[in-house]
Amino acid sequence: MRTDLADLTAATLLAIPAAEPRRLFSGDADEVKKAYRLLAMKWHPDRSADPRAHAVFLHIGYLYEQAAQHTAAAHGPLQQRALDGRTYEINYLRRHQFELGSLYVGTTVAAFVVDAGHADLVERAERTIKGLDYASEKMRQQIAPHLPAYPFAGAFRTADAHVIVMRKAPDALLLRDVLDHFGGRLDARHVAWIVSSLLNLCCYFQYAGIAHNAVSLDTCFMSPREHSVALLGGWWYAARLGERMLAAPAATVDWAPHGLLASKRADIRTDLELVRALGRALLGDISGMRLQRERAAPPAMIDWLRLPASGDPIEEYRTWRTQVLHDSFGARRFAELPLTQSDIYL
Amino acid sequence: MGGARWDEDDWKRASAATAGKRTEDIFAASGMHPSLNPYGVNRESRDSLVNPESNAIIIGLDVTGSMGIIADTMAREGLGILVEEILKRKPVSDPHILACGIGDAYCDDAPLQVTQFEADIRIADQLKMIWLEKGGGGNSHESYHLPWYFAAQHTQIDCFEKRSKKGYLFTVGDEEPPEELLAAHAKAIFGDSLQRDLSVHELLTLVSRSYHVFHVVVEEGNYARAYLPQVLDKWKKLLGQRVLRLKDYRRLAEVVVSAIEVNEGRDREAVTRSWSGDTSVVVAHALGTLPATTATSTVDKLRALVRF
Repeated sequence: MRTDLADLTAATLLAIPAAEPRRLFSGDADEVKKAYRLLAMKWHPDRSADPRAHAVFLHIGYLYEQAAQHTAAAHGPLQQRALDGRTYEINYLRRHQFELGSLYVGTTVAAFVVDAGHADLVERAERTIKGLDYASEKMRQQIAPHLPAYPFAGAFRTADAHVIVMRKAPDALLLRDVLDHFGGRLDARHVAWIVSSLLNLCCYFQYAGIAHNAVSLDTCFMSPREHSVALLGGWWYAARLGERMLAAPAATVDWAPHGLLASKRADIRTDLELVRALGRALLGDISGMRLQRERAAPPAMIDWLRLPASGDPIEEYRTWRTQVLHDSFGARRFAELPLTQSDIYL
Repeated sequence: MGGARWDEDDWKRASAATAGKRTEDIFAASGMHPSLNPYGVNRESRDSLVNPESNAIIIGLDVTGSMGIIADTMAREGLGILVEEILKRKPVSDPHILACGIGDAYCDDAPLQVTQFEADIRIADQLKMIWLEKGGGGNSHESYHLPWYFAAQHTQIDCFEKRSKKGYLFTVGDEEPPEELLAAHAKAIFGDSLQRDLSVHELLTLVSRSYHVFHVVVEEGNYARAYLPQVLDKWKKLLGQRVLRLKDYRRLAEVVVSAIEVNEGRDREAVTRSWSGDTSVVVAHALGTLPATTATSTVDKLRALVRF
């Protein structure tokens, strides 16, 4: 538990991203609870004269709720009763909230429970995934394993939600969980192959004429054994290139190319910018400001991750592989990452 | 930098010292001062005991041709008004200000000059060290994108690093935006090796990650007087409502403060009314339809879904 909790200012507390509760609440369940009580006492609006006390109180409450999920209720069975009367049970290892509902990460599946009010986004995801097309069998073999398989492992309605269950490889780990496991920063060599894998997917998106629009820690799963990434989440926001977007998560709006909000049209540059943002996030600083100072990666890699994307995925991928990786790491070598599902979830 | 605190008396003394002086007496430099050269340097805006929640604000002033009058006005009165009004109105806390002199990357000897981030009278002293080169080429633009690149790649600001709160960047001038930053210019001006030229849209993507970017069109400038619709059109295509039309250059400070207030969520009409006399008219003209943004907490942000 942090010993300087009482010294944290309102601005500092409010700046802790809701998706990173472990930056405030670390340790076991008891330590997390103790820390929360201390902070709640200090920032309760009845006790604190700070004008931001109410906002801080709500924020630390939300962070606590998230941290408690990691420590106490990390796994369990998810039971859902479908409108047709059937009951489904999914054993999950980790639950995450996201802007549309909840994600349950299981051993061989990822289940998305999306609030009923987002039927249009669910329909958009299904339509896009169903329509994924490949130029050849070779392309299918190379790309399909990294995208959601259709038909889904399961898809049904409950009284208040849409449930989509996607298959995933048993060793596929949500990037958010991997980053938490490593304390907020991955070795640059592993970030490199994750970025490579995602740039390859962007090239396919260009071919398929779509933009995913939500590449992030919360939508990507990595396979340490295969050195590959599967993009299973976030398809709710996908659209054909040039098509009007229905919605986007706040993170996309934060890191997308300037002017996206004005055009509201799907653009491959959004995915390319989000891949770079993801690379920076995996190195511990999505803003990129601290990367150089903290020597989080070789200079060539940091420069590339910080600078804006060109808009041409094939050119991006070529530059990344032939220049950036070479300047950063020299000759290609397989960087082993001995990490399994049980290391993270059990 | 930025570890000291603004003192009104310091400013009054400094401002009084400029009274009756000509611009060339105040801005006496005949070349770029080494301390203002952006080549290979970084600028930091850090929290300190006296400025515990600092906020970075960059003001980039066109110093080509007749635009030196803007820097002159800021040195005489504008900076004082800017800081004092921010401290009084508190749209953001603990302002740290960095001033830039903007020229033309294609033909000037000093296309960009940058002070440190300062919170006290030193910002006025450094502003006066800027060389009013009065250059600029026969093209239709000045290098307003150089402060964008510098801010994105060569500043480190605690408001963003520690509190995810973007800084502010205002460029001020009468010409059109440039189209790109040449890799050769980045090398010559900043010492950076870019793999390719960057378009002005790409530069905006880059700088908008950590700064709110505005441009102030000086309508009294020679170029704007001749080509105002063209100038406004090009800037609005880039920055939308964040283009501020300045019809009285002596009110730049008030316009900048007002834009920050509105961007921090204050009602535009109320901000306009808060100024007296002619100033309120100038501010209303400048703000146009700039929308007030509602600050959301990180909790709201995570749960927020932006519906188009």
